[in-house]
Amino acid sequence: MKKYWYTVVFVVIGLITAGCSRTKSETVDLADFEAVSQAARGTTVTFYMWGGSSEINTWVDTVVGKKLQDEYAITLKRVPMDAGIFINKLLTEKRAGKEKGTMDLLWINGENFKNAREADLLYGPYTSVLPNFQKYIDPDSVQTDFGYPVEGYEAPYGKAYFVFEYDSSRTSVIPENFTDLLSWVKEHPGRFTYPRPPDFTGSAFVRLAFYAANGGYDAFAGKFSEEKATKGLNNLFIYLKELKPYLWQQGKVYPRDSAALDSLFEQGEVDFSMNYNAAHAQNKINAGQYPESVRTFVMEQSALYNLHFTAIPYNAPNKAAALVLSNLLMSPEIQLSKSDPANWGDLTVLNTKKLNPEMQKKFTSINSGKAILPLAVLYKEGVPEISAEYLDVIETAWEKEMLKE
Amino acid sequence: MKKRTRIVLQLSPLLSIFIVLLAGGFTFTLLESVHLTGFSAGKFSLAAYRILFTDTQFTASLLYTVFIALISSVSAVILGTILAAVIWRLPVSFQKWTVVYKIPLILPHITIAFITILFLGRTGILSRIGYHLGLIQTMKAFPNILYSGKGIGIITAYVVKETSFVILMVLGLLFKLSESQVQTARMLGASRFTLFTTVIIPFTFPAVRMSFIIIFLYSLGGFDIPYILSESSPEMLSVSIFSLYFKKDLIHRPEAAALLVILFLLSLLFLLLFFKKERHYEV
Repeated sequence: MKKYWYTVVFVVIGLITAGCSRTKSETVDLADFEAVSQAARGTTVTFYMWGGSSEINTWVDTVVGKKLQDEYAITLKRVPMDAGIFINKLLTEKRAGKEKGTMDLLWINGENFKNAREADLLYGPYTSVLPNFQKYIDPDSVQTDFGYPVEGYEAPYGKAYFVFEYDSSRTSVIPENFTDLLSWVKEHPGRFTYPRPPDFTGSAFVRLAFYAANGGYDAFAGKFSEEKATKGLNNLFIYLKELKPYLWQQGKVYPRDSAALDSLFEQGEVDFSMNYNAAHAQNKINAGQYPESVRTFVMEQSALYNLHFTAIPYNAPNKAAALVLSNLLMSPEIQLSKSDPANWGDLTVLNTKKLNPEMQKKFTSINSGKAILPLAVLYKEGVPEISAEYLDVIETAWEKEMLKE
Repeated sequence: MKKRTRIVLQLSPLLSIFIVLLAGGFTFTLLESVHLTGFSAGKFSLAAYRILFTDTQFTASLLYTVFIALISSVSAVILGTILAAVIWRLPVSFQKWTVVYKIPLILPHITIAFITILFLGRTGILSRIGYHLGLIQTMKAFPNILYSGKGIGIITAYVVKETSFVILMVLGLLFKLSESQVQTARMLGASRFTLFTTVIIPFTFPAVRMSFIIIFLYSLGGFDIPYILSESSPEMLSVSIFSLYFKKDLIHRPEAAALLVILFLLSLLFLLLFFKKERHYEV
């Protein structure tokens, strides 16, 4: 019988894994935050989020994890996973009728929020239950996520602005709008490029050009329209094709992603980089990767911004702790620590006017650094994201139009 | 218990892993590509395949992928065989130094990709050497090999990585070649070249063929090197799959699955062609 021992081991392992899905039953009233935070004590909450940035991961593990443990006695378990993957997982669970899932809180993005809502994968509406949401968030500022109505199904926790980066010791004149950019690029052939969509950053740049070529964001505000898209795309490609021969490598190739563009910029092959994080350049300077003379700028109506949100799956095993964590992420202390470029440098979603004067002062002083634009400038040139349907249409059309010879 | 049943039972842990992972994975991919599972699950539909086959970029990508795999594998096989023969003819005292050829064998593909960037980049090592030797006026005058749109970066990385594999396979066989056979050939007046073409090549041919099909199939579907060194267009299929699956909206997943199925069938086709030829060759 000795020969069969590994068969036995195999079966045993299978049984152990099958026994792991034990969860605790929930009877608490989820509309009563006081009761919710009591019920969540001593439990573990799983936070599924994009894991591509070590700074953000460290910040979540240490600052947020510690605060959650100290104040609410909840253990935070961070699971790195791309939004597309956990939404797909959730969808499979929904189809299989699984009422107890494995994920408590999700860091979701606009495209997938829409997908998740349409498939009815999220718990809610719940944001009105959270004290920090009631106290500090301006409800008007979080009505939509990439043009899709939020309706209380996700809670905001950060704001990102799109900025351009340049080296002030190399480049003295910076373009003020997209018309300027075109003439700048024509005068400096080979010194500008953008990441190839569907890269997040490259896609954002193309969207800005899409706005600019069609008289601004207002042309596409509201619901997706096939007709507007077709007309808009025509104008977009007239612009981009005029730009193309003067791009780096005559526009025959594009950097793969924003990291590839960053390294071209670092090596002095191009004069501008761009990022969907206003503090990115400052972080790079602090890390010694960019020279001290690097600065950021925004063009007229080109500070594209979006909010990031957390959402709770319909089958979250520990909804109480998810609510507590979601609330904690909107607390002034955590928001302040998140704004610190040393941690993450992500901008706050709170209406800072609702904070006490001392806290307000801290927020104004923390977002500083020579390479970070003042919030007032970003607010002034800020433009929101359009409906997520446009994103896919633009990306697909871009590949068809711009990559063929 | 019958002997056959016993063997199957004893193999069951291994077999079940194989079946679950490989066959299971393939089944799910196939189902997703025809809209029967995953995000776009619904009625059976060949829409994903239709999208791919009407897209000119897909055809370009497919040809490009086969071209890159073919050219890098053929170069690696030729280079590897020649180098193996050179190492084999070296005096024994020198041979121990040639162990350096094994370095690319140990290094992961992704490391080789970064080393390629380090050497061939416009501000890379070759460019610096050229500049210091006065061959080019500025470092920027160095040709932009990595972004020439011809896949030179990918091919270089694959050749570096796979050549050492070919050397390993061929050299192992060469050491079994009896010295007397070589001596006889030399005595009969064979030049080095004749020796190479009439003795070494026929003798090592089985190893060369085997290593060719292994590296060819690998580079057909390999992801790490193309991802690091990819240019924007045309794209290696593996990179297209990644971007369709992970970077775009979930509605594009059936297309990614369809591409995976096509890539799998393509590999299978090459494998069948290869072994059909092989049998022919042995008879």
